[in-house]
Amino acid sequence: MRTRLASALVGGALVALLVGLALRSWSVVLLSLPPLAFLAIGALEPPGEPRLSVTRTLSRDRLSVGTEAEVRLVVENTGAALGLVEFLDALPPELVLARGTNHMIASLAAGDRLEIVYRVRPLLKGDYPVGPLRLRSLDALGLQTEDLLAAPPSTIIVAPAMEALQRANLGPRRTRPWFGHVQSRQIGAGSEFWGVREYVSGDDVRRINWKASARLGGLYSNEYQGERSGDVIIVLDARRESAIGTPTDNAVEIGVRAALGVAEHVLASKNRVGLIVQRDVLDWVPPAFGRKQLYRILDHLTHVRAGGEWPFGFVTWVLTRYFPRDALVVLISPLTDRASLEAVVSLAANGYDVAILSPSPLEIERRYLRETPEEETAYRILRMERENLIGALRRVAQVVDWDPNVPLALPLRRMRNWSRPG
Amino acid sequence: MVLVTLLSAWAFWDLLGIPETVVARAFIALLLVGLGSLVLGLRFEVAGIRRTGIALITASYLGAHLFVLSLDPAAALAFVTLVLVTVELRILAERFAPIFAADLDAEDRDRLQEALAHSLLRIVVASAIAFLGSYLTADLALSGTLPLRSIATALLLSMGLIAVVLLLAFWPAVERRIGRTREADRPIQTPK
Repeated sequence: MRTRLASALVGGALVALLVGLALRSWSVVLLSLPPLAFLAIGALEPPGEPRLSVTRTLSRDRLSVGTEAEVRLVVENTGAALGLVEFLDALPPELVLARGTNHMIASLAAGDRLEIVYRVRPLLKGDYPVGPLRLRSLDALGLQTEDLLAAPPSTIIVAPAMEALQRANLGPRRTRPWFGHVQSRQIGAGSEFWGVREYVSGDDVRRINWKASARLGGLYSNEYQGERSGDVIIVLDARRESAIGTPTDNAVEIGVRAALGVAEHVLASKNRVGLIVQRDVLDWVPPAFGRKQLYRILDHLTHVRAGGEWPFGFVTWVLTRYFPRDALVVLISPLTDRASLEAVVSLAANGYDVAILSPSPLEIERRYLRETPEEETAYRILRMERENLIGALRRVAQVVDWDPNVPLALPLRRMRNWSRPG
Repeated sequence: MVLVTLLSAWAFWDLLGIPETVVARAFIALLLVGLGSLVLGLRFEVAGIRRTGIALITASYLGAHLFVLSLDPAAALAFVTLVLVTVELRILAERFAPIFAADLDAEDRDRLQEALAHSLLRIVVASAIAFLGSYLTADLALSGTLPLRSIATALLLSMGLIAVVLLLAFWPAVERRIGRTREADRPIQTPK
């Protein structure tokens, strides 16, 4: 394909020629020769049609935000020699170069082999294509090009980073009949002492309370508080209005991290976890146990993008119809509107335990603002409004007002239990 | 930048030699507009404005020499060749600079330097031929080796030049068409 420069040279030569002829000036006609000389020399070595075999390998195709993956491109020239070839392995803006380059210019003799190695670091969760490899064979004077697309895109799946919630106090209050780690206030298999009763044939010998038996003159067995599991439903507010901050650092992205941390923590305690995401569509994962469920939730969270303007009431509708009633609902929302108050009151009225983890939009925005007196005043006013809303919510639910500058585990450890207030 | 400064200074120096103040001012204004466009184009990285700047600087020099001052063929050829070299170097810089700025290992850097040296050599050869070839052609023509002064030869020469320019302009399209025809003529090969 001819470049603009080639067209400009042809145009310039024609203008000089025509003007020279019109003015009958040989010296002006002479000026058409330098552009023609450039065109002629460019035409002597036109860019060859690239015939290349390209292989792309990724060191990892699944990684989490902030980690790196190596991309290795092996290009082999199977055709004629190429004077100058420009390579560009297309990358989406969410993948940044950590080392090396995805852009190279080289001369390739017939049978030559070239390796392009670079490392990428994702800034945001999601599925991203790496490639295709764009090739442009050039002549040395940039007058003609031959373009080619090689090596179809490979996909990198980027999982969100997870909030570490070790030793955080978070779990359901009400239990289901399955064994787990939550004290059930019922006699059963567990480790917490409940009481003593007379020995019944078939009781485990290790359960016999020898001190009580000696004192009371008969055999007595210990009884323990049964440990059961419960249900936790995570509701993530990913509406457009909740995405306060930058594309990579906003309340929705922070909420995703928190949701994943909560899911992992609660599933590790042998509870069932479900997920509802409120974005441009309302999608959900029904409650289930185990590692597979964590992967299901991770897969859903990986594809969460802020969007949609659904009112909160729809979440209540879905919860009451498709999810068990005696579950702990963990609502992760920056609480940007007062409609959330009505939704939480409605959930509590329907018999759900509600806990709210609210990444503070004020603290997120404050990171990006200059500290001027006006902004300080605005911050205080907004802070008061938020405290007012949180105060109202605390009448019906447990609320964690989370400053995303500190790990979520810290405010969660301060919570004593997740029982309903009042 | 050095070449652009040199071209502007050259054009400005020649414009100062125009005896009529009004005409001189008009051409200097054209030159300044060109320089301004060039600076704006470089500052905001807009290729269109930058190209206009180069075109205006060239137009101010050639226009002044064509309509007011006399056109010295050697100087004009040198000026036009220098403009072409400036444009070529700018294209080269745009192509190579982002890659050099990246974090490269020694092998990649060597490969890149080799490709750059290859391109630079081509530009040097092209500019030398463009200047010397044109200059020698003019010299040959003026020495009277060929009878160029008759109307018939002038017409023939003009037609020949136009034919060469048109051929260069349409050559890539013709080449592609020939390639396609060849491809169509080839028999379909059965896979082994």
